[in-house]
Amino acid sequence: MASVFSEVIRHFTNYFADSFYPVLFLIALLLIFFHPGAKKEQAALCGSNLLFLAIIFCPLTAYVVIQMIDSLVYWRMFWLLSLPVALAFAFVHLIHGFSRKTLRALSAVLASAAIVCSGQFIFTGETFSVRANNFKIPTEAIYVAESISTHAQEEGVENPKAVVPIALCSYIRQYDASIRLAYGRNMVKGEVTQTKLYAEINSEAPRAKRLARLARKAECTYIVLPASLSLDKKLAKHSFIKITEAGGYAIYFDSESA
Amino acid sequence: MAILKVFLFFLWAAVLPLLVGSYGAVKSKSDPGSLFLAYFYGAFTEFTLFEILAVPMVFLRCSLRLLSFSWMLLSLLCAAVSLGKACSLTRFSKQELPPSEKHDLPRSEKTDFPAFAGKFLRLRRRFTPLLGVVLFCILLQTACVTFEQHIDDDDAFYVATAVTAVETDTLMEYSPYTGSLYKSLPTRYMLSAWPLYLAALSTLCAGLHPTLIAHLLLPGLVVLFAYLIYALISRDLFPDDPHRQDLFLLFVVFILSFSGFSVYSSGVFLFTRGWQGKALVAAVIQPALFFQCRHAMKNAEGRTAWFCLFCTVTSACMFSSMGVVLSIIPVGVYAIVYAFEQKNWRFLPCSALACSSAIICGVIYLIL
Repeated sequence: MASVFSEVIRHFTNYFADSFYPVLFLIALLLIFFHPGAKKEQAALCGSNLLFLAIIFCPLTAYVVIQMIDSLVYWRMFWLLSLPVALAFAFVHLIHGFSRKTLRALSAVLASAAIVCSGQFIFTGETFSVRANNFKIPTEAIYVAESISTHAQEEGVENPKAVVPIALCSYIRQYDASIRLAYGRNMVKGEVTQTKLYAEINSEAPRAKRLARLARKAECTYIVLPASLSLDKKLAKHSFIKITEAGGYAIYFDSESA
Repeated sequence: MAILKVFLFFLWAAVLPLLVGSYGAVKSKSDPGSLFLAYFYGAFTEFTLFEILAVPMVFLRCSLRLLSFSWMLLSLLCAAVSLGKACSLTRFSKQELPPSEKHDLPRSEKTDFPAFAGKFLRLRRRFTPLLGVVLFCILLQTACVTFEQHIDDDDAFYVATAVTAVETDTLMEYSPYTGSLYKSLPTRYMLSAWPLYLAALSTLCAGLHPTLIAHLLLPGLVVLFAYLIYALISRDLFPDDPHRQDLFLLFVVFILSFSGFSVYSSGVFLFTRGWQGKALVAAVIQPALFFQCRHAMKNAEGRTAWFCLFCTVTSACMFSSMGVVLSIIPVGVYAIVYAFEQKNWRFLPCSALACSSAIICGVIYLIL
């Protein structure tokens, strides 16, 4: 049980990080509990949130929940706390507790400052960037998918299958699901050929012979590699002919499959 | 053509829920005829309809087209019935109302149809500078999540599942990662039909790409939906006090904007992954359950509110497998709290009934 509790504490620390929101939240609950004007909402806001905290931190209930949802995602239990509602409600009551307008304005500014200082602004350049295209996926993935799709149509390749570097594998099928991939983001559960192919194509210097053999074994008709690797001649020896370059990637087609 | 597709999207995702929820909103005692309440009721009813259709169809390996068009027909039928009943309810004079429905409407609404219709068509709020600031902040946030980008690798599953369903016209039969046939049913995800909802919207919007729906159109709508729920909560916490309601909303805007302290917070999920089901569980379902439990238990809104609570819980299951646990626990907690407060123990079995879909999903997850 002690290990379960320490696990919960670890999740709590990860969830709130350096923020002072938990402190603000507890102050808000105390305020709602003792403020005479907030009596009506004591049960809804204090009672429910205290019960949530009890369920989250109690080792027994935490153990049961972990058995059901997996320890890795236990931090999602903190979503249960109605933190925005309780905090906002407490602040509104605090501000309206003052009769003078200047005091109200001052307390509103202080409450806002408390929020700003306790948390961290979301809408920054770190979180959001200028969108590269309307699909909001890397543009090079769109170029590569377009090139493979066009070539497959021209050559009459049904159900084209490609092996691509890890940087592209999450995005190709978000754009065009007609392109099958040798491995996906779930490589952990991959088969032996998939694992070897994954290791080879993502290595610093992929070996053309081995890559071509593994790709053929995985029934891939297309190999996508960073254009900077310049493996055109070596792959051509093994019948993978470069068809085009797109978005900084070279696309090779298995001429033996045609 | 692109404009037509976007128009169809807003028709399905923004207008239809209003019509579906109109009857529930008209019947409300505490906030009769509210447009926000109509959207709230309608959206969750539509999600529930989709989940109820999608889960058996996934097991029966039906096509995406069958799911999309059956959901469309059912939604349109619900909208027509709801709108018809809402109109007939407001047309009744006090004498004509059936005795069973007389008590369901506030006294002022029973006789005055023109005033009531007028109320239903307006947002019923006078504009204040504080409300202007709140709306400006919300619009800025909506614009940011719509026009800026945040790339999340989990989309390799969620969005690609929708794109794969559209491409193959199947329901979760192919791995979204590679496009190969699943060797066995994806038990962890098959009861959460949210990615299929994106695929169905794509089908009903004349082939609008699911990735465009997920990344471009949906994030803003989800942000607005979350604030709509907070606006309903503010009306419920501070009835007849617009200034406090606006101040409450302003603080909520502040708190959510400054919840970037870790990548796990519900605010971060709302603004950066609004198109993923788990983000909806964090940022929409939790405040929705808070509001809906108050509505059903504290405000004693009657069967409509309990039905909507059932819909909210079912929607949580549709959004994510985590929704099972993260809906049963809050409903249970609110039921206990309100049962003690109101001294009404009937809330406990009623809440269990409202959670029946989550309980069934939970049992299926455990068995599979």
